[in-house]
Amino acid sequence: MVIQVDEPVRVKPNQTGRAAAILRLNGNEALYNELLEMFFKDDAVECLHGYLASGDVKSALLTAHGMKGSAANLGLETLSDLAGNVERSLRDNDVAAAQEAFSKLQREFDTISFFQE
Amino acid sequence: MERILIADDIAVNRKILEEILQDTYCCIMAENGKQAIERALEYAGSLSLILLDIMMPEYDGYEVLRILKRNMLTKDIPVVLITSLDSERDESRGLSEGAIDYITKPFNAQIVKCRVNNHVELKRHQDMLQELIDKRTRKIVEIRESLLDAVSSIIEYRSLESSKHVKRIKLYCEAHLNRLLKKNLFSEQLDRKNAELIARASTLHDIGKVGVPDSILMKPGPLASEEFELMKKHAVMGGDFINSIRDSADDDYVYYAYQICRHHHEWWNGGGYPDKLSGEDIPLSARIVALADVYDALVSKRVYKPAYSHETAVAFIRAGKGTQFDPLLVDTFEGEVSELFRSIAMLHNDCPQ
Repeated sequence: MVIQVDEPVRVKPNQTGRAAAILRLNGNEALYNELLEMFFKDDAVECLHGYLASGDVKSALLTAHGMKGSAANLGLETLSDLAGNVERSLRDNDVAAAQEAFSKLQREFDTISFFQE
Repeated sequence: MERILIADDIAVNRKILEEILQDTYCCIMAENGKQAIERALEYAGSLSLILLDIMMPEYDGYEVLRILKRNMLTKDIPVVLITSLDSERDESRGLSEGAIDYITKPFNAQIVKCRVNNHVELKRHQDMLQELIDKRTRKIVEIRESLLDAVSSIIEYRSLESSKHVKRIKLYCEAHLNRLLKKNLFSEQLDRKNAELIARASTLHDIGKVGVPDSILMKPGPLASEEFELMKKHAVMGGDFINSIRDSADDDYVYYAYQICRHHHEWWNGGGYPDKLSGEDIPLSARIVALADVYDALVSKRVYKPAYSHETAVAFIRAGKGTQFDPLLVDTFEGEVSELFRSIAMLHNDCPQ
């Protein structure tokens, strides 16, 4: 990922989320790091973007829901909540609200993947 | 190692569950609902548990659950749902549709492991109990059948007929039934399982003779007409006796035994007894036994008659086609089946050389 010089200052993601997630994995930090890598390698955000753009609500809903769960599993609480917002808006058939929630989600995703790298 | 199926469309979730459980279980993975069903059917006999995500592409978890619970092969495999913390509605719906429990995201390794272990253990106990019940039930059925067999042998001693008569009747019926199965005849009422039951029940055909006086059973020579009327009662008495021990409508063995006892002296043209049934109204089991019983009476020596030759017996049965006997059964009897009857009669002769 290319970082622009005029990017706003990034806030480091919630460390308690990480610690709690590792604890839930029986303290297996190596496994946690492996899972995190899997998570960021996945193209779910791009897919979600595409589904929202093309109006494929059903697929967007599944992807947002999936991201909510896997982010929660990794202790990425903010991201999980934002994915939850997208999911909820889609369930209400409010695509505009889903788009808006998605841009927040994308920002959060970029932020934590920046610290991930 | 016991097998479990993990069905979740999100790779991270599958990986976590697999890591948590792979030390204890052999984990089969599915990435969507369709795969979950395919894997469940493929491993149906050996799956101890299914972990099932609800929101999945290609059939969601509810649909998968419904399909699994409707299939005989998979309906007894415990299903644990994977849900999000905020979806209480999913949990209650899943549980009401047959899931045994649920785990929530984010996964807690220890809780997941404990829940899975508990349910696998429960399933194991359940299977053990089921096996025990099946075993005991089989035993009870066996005991009743051997009691009935013992009852049927009483009449053989009483009537001074051959104790091998009962055995031969069973063998004749088996031979005839096998032929019918092979030629796919009467296939709407006959399969391998009930053919076996009919052959076994055939041994009871004459138990009603217990109620016929010795003076008639052992009378050398033809019976007077009132004596014959008493003799004919054995069919009714046998049927009544079987009825008295008939405790459940779905017990096929006792059901066939009743048909055979009551109706093995009916004639195809309605000229038999006790109910003067004709044609297809006579139960198939009774029609098969009737033919075997007559064949054996002809080729055996009885107090009232000498033993006739196999050829005479076959000719007699051929002559009774459509009058005494079901014509279709006579057709299958002639040729291969009658030859089998001949060897059975020879091998299980009353006075072995």
